[in-house]
Amino acid sequence: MNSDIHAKDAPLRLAIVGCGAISEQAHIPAAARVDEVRLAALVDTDMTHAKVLAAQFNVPTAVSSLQDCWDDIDAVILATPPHVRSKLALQSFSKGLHVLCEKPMANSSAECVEMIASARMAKRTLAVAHTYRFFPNRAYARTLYKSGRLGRMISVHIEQGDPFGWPTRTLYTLRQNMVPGGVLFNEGIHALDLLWWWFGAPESFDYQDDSLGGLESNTHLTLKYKEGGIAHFRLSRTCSLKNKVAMQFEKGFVAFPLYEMAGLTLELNGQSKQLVVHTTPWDYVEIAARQLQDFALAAIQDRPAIVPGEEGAIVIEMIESYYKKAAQRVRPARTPLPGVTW
Amino acid sequence: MVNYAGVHVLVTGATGFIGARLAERLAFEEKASVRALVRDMRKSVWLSRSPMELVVGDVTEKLSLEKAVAGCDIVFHCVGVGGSSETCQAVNTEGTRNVLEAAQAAGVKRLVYLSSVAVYGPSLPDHADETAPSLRTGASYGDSKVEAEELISRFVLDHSMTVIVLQPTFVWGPRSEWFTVDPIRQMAKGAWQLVDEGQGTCHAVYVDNLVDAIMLAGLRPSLKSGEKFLVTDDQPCTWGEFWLPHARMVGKSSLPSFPSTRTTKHPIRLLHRWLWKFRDWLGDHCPDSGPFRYVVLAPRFVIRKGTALLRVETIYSDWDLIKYARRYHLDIAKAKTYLGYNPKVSRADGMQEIERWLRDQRIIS
Repeated sequence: MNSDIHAKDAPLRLAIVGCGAISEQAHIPAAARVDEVRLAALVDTDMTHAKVLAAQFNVPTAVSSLQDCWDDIDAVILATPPHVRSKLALQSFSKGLHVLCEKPMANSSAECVEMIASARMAKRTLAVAHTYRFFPNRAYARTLYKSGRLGRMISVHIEQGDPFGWPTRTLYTLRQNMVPGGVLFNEGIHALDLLWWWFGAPESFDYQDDSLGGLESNTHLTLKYKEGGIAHFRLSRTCSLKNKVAMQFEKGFVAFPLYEMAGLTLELNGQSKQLVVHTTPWDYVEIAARQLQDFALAAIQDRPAIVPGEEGAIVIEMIESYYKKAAQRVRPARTPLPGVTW
Repeated sequence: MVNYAGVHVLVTGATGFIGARLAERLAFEEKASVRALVRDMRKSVWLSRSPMELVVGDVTEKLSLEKAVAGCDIVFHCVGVGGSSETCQAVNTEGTRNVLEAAQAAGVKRLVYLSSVAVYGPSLPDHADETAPSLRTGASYGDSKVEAEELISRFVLDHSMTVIVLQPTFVWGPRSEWFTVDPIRQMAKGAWQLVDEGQGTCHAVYVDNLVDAIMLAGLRPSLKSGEKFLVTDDQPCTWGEFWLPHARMVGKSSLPSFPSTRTTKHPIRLLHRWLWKFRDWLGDHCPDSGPFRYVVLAPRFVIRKGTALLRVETIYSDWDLIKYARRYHLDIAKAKTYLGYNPKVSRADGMQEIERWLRDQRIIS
């Protein structure tokens, strides 16, 4: 087993599987900032691209398959399209590797259950890259909320929308044979994870999207919570929305731009202020580095990661329930207006 | 109506305004087996909402077309681009040749080609129909469509595949950049103008009415190969009646007007152009700093302010001025008789759908 030969104080030998946009822009450069890991290999079915990135980032090995390097590593980041993540995770656990899995962690909750069971059986770490949990402004405001200083949540409004432009190499988010859902599954999952992380499971929901039997590009989601709070989430990959989170509480108000990492607006006890929670220059590489460090320490110290597989699975279950409700709709005789949810 | 259930179709230009609506209606309403030819997958966020096969390809690449047409019964050729004459020629004319040849070779039964009323030039005679002569005007888009139609006329003489040509007028509806989104944005900025107080005739066609015609052309029996059909909404209106409801969506009760007589050859516009050329010349050849800078800056300022008083700034080309000023009636009896075309969406209903869509997509608030 790899961890048998891995010394406790030595860095984890890491492979990144899938060399698409997120690896190139975040995971690979982040690995160089984390003392607890050493990036040993890049894996991609497109070997030419993997070799180019390996040369660019001084990674010693580029291979086309995980099995070509799994005897020489301790952990993997799975940054492939989601339809192959569960298979790769199961293979990794069988070889004694720790797994940091990109979100969504799998295409179905059944696959998530298998991955979690397999990690437990192998006594290995399974973490999910819900990156936004590492944004310091969210963590700060959540601590305030959990301390009770903000009081009960009254309402949350989240808007997320831009015309699709993610520089994906496989374009899997638009391919019905690779993903079970569209914008909610691929882009909205961050906001759903935030809602669950702050407020837990809702009591009921109302969901609409613009799917005509394929992958939705616009959604409206309303979540109702036990104590009367209500969350509205509007999401689009066809139009520009405010890209903002606004939360009204009994005793205060919190708001931040969706992609802002450090700043937030806070109203508490009748006073409003603009806060910058952390002075470190934050960017996505830094966020990915914090996430990777947490994963590595969880593996080395045998403690849960900040986002364990169990929590990654919850969001997949939530999404499945929304899609199930959407699938039960009566089809209108005439094709609905483009993009307008129904 | 026609029955597309289980029919295998290919839609080219499927990420475009008309092609996307056709493809999603064929898949959702008609339950056809739809394959969509997509040049840039990033633009398929509308198409990916429907159960259809997305195939990456380009009408200028024959190999990609061979794969795309394989196994198809009907091809809807909706590709059409504007731009330089080279681009229009390569995509609109030669692309059509490639699609015709690939479809014929693959045993496709029928091809519906989406041409344009632009083949008749900007000045169609009153009560014109499909017998009007097509006209090369020097405009790259229109000329490339004329050439594509000529190519089809020659093609049908010695090929078995049935080819039907549709000539829509100006297509409007949700998702149209040219005829909905851009005008709305211009109106919000106060830049959109009527021509001659909006008294010219508007023969527009709502996208779902056009899609009805396209679907009829695909399966209607006994259509003669090479036949052309003009397609427009049932009743024309004035451009004022067409644009003012749009203006009201952005809170404007009226729109400024520009006289159609002020073409680029009008003496006042010629004067305007020469004054601005002189202004540019001053900027290029005389220093605008140092003690004598006001000798340069003052005339430039005077020209800028003075020419504004001439009120000849317009968003329209000479073609547009003719298009928006002419008063005429188009005859679509042929489409009604032979295709069974019956435009169902009224102008008022179309306006409501546009407004709902614009609000949903936050283009208007």
